[in-house]
Amino acid sequence: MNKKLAYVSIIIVSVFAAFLLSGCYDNFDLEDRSLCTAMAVDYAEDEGYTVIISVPVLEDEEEIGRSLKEETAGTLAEAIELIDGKQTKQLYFGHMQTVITGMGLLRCEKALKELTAYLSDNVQIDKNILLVGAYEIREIMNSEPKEDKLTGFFISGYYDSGKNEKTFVNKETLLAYLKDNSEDKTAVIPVLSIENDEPAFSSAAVLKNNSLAAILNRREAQGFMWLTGKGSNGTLTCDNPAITADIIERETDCSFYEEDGVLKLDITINAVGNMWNYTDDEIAANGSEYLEAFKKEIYSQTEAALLSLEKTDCDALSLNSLLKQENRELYKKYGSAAEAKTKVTVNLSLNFV
Amino acid sequence: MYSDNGKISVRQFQILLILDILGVSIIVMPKYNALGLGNTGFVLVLGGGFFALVSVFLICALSGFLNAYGFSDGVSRLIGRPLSRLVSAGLVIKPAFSLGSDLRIFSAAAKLWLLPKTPVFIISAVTLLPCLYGAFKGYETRARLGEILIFIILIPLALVYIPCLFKADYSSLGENISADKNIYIKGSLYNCLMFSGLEFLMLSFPYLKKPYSVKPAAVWAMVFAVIAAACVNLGAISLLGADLTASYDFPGVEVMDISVISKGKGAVIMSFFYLPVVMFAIGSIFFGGELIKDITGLPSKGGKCFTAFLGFVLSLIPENMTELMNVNLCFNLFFGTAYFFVLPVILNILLRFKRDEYDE
Amino acid sequence: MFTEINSNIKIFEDMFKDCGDLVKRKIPVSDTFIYLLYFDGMNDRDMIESRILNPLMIEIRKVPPEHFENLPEALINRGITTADFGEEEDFEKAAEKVMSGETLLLIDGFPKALIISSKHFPKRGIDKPDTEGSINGPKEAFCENFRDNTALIRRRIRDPGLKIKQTQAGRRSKTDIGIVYIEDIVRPEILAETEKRIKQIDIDAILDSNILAQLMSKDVLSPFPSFQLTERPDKAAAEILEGRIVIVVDTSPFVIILPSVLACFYQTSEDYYDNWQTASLVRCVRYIASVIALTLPGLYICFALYNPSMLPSALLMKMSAARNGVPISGVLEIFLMELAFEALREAGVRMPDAIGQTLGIVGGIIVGQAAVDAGLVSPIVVIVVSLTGICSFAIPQLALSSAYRLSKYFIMAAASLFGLVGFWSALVVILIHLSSLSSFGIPYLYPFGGDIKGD
Repeated sequence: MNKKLAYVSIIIVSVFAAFLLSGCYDNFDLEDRSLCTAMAVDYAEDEGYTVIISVPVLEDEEEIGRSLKEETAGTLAEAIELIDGKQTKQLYFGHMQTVITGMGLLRCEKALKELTAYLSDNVQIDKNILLVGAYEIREIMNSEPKEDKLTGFFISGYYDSGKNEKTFVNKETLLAYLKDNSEDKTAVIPVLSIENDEPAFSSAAVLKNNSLAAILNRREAQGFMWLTGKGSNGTLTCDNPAITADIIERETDCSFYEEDGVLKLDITINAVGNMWNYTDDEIAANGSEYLEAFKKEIYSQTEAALLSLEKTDCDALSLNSLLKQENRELYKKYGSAAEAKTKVTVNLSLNFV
Repeated sequence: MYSDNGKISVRQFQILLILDILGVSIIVMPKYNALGLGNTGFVLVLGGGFFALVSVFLICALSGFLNAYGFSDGVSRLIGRPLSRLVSAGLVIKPAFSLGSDLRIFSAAAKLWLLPKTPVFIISAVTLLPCLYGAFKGYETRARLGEILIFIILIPLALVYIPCLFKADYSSLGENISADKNIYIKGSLYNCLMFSGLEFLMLSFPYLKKPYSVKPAAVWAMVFAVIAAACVNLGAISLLGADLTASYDFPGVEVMDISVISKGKGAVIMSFFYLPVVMFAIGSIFFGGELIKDITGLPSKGGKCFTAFLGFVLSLIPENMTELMNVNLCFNLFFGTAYFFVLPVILNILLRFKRDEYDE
Repeated sequence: MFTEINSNIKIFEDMFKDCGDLVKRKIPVSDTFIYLLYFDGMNDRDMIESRILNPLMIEIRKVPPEHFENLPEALINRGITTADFGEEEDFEKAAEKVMSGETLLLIDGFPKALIISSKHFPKRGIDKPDTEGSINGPKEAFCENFRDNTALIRRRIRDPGLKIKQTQAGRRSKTDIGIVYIEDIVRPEILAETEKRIKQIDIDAILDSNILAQLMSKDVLSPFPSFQLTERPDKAAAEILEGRIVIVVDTSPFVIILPSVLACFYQTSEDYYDNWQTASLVRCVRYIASVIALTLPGLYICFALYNPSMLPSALLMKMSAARNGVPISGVLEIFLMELAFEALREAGVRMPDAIGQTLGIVGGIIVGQAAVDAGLVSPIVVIVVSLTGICSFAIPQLALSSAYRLSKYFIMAAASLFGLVGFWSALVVILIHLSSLSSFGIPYLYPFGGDIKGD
């Protein structure tokens, strides 16, 4: 071997050796990763953050269950680190589906901020995970839905794949929440409670600027969805529980105008429903009556929502940004005080096919 | 033999120009455009494209002359040997700096998404080694590589970004439209200077088979690249919103993480940015080596190793991304303006005067 | 050569001392002597006896003596009853001819050696192609005989433009080499370069066309083949018709096709016989298969060990469950499995057909299943490795498939060190290498990368 070649090979070998010795920092075998499918976080002034993480227990290629790991610490990161430290495997958030936030956390601005910062900065976490609220996080995490034992997957499936076509639900992903927050808009996240051993939509939390502005009960939440056009469609019921209809299309238009020195907002709701569970004869006989009942119900829902939102001291309907978008002239005049000065009128056009 | 001459065709030249311009800068640019002009930030890319086109016109006017004499020799014929050495030395430093900056941006993004525990310098080194190998293999190899990589880069990016464009919310696009005119000019200039591939334009003329048909080719390549960059900016800002875009270091990658196709697969799509970095790095190292050879007479392999090492060291100096971008801005303002606009203007004027001597 | 026969005989006998298979005989004919020399087994003995010895020893007696004014010339004109013979003055060259199977005849008083063509080697008949089987199309394959091989090509292209330039290479082997091309289609610069490279070869022996191909190659360090080898005459003919050059090497059943760029290695002769839709589909499948063969294990390492977010959750959980209890790390597992597969493949090639099949079944199915059941390896790795193996078999040319196999390990090593960054680095190195290659001036990645439309 000539001298030059020897030198070159020595250099190559040493560079490779250096890389070989220095590499593999991030090499983790699958069995050394603990796959987190759902995370629940709550906050209490005296205790700090409580974090519960659900990890599937995998044996023999069959999911046989899941284990819950719970820790409490002064900060969110500490609590997660504690969980991570107490197991041999490394926590991996790449396949996390849902983050469940306790009411204590939603009520504390600082804690909510810390949570969203953590979720947004951790690149392992998919920005499309669902944010949901819960009155009691342990109850939700402990529930064992029949379809999917892994709560995280159950909740995300429940919201994503249209299994919930019976209920009006508002789904909020992490990205949508971050975006709403950065654009000074209101975010509404569903709050779950347990029904028949399964987590189900019970009410909604209105969040603005990382703090809880209001909690809407199911009817109010439904009204809010009518007003904003957000959320998924579902089955509409009215005073008479025997009469139901499926809403299949829904659209909300807003227009601002000024009348007698008062800023007014017309919200026009166009909805198309389907009364497929009634015969043609029944519809011919009672159709208009049903229609009126449904209209009345929607009006009462929106009214309830408006009433409830009025009590909050924030722009829960995001009227400021709506005005900015819709009518620049009026926005210049009223500036960012639109929410305080707007009178909302709701027009409804409901049709059945 | 037909292809052992190290020369490239006009098509290859176009592809290289597109890849150089669509470099790694597009993953950070949405942040600065959103900071500057909010939801309408993508307009700055188009403005940058306009400036870049002016520069392309100026530089392409020299194509025949530089093709005949080579860069160092040609410039020294126009401005004299000592000055030309200075200009060439600057052109070693500029790409080496851009290399360092691109390397750092990529390594930082790769560290965030792909290798969180691996030190940045190791990621930089791993990225740089294949580029050095590529630079040793010559300019024609780079051109052939470009022809393959352009598909590997553009197809996934298009697949990811085009759905983004449909999904995005354009309702607040017109906001801030009446902002200060200075922002438009400064922002556009900064965007233009971030198209660091432009500096290769002058250097690549000697490697062209047909230097005279280069102007329309370069213009088309620029237009394509600028539109693509504008789409990335538009997609990122519309999907994330201006404020959120400005809060991320690499909004270009964040967008991919939430796109319909790559949902949650940002890490993988991120890895596609490795390829533009490689193309740019090969160019920087290759031209650095050739220019050092022209200036000092050293063998070009040594010069290439030196340029690569310089880029590697420069990539490690900035503490964080903000510092990097600040240094980048100052550096680009000086060197970029000098090489994209001032030098081509001077050379063009001198060439006019000495036209009889060097009749194209 | 000398006019005196004994001096010539002495020189030849010295030259071929201790050659047991040499047949030599000095025979008195008329008033003079002739001397016959050939190697046993390389000649057609019947032909020598009936066409040379019989006329010279028996028939010539019937000729009246007045016809023998110039005896040697008379013997040549009347005694040798074959058209294919020549004269040689140089001892070395004459000996070379003898060694290549010709018969040497010396006549006293005649200062040249007569070289009579009487080659007849022990040879295999025309067989079916072993490595390039096809459903459609001819079933003939080249054999080890040079002349048979050139005939197989000429039979397919009956054009006077088809040229077969013959030359020799190998200092001791003196192997016959034929450069086959069509005069008005071939690029003259490629032909000149081919001849130059063959002339430059300096080696003792060329025992096979593979050796010649490696010696002609410029990029010796590259694992990627710059020449295509085929054992199908129809493929060789098709390539010649496309303007390529075919090199036929004596004693080798494979001919070399050049220039060969990467895309050529994905063509099979069957592509010409199928309809274009099927052929295009199959060719696309080959490209996809080669990408899988090259990258799948590397990607598995990246996704399983570095970025599991890429995998669907359900798959990831299955994989994670399957890895439970596997005693070795993921990287080691896939490397060992790949090596086991290589060993299996190597063993299969060396075994006779029947045992080879059994070995495949035992190795692949029984041992694989047992290893999975015993928890030594995870089933997903078995799937990855076998899929990689199957895809590598879908690449028509063995040389290219071997290059991909080799590159696959490089990618796997890089991926195990640096995940996706390492994966891309390795892939880029391979792409740079491929871009830098050229086969006789044609870019190796042509038409995907590279330009040949003139300077």
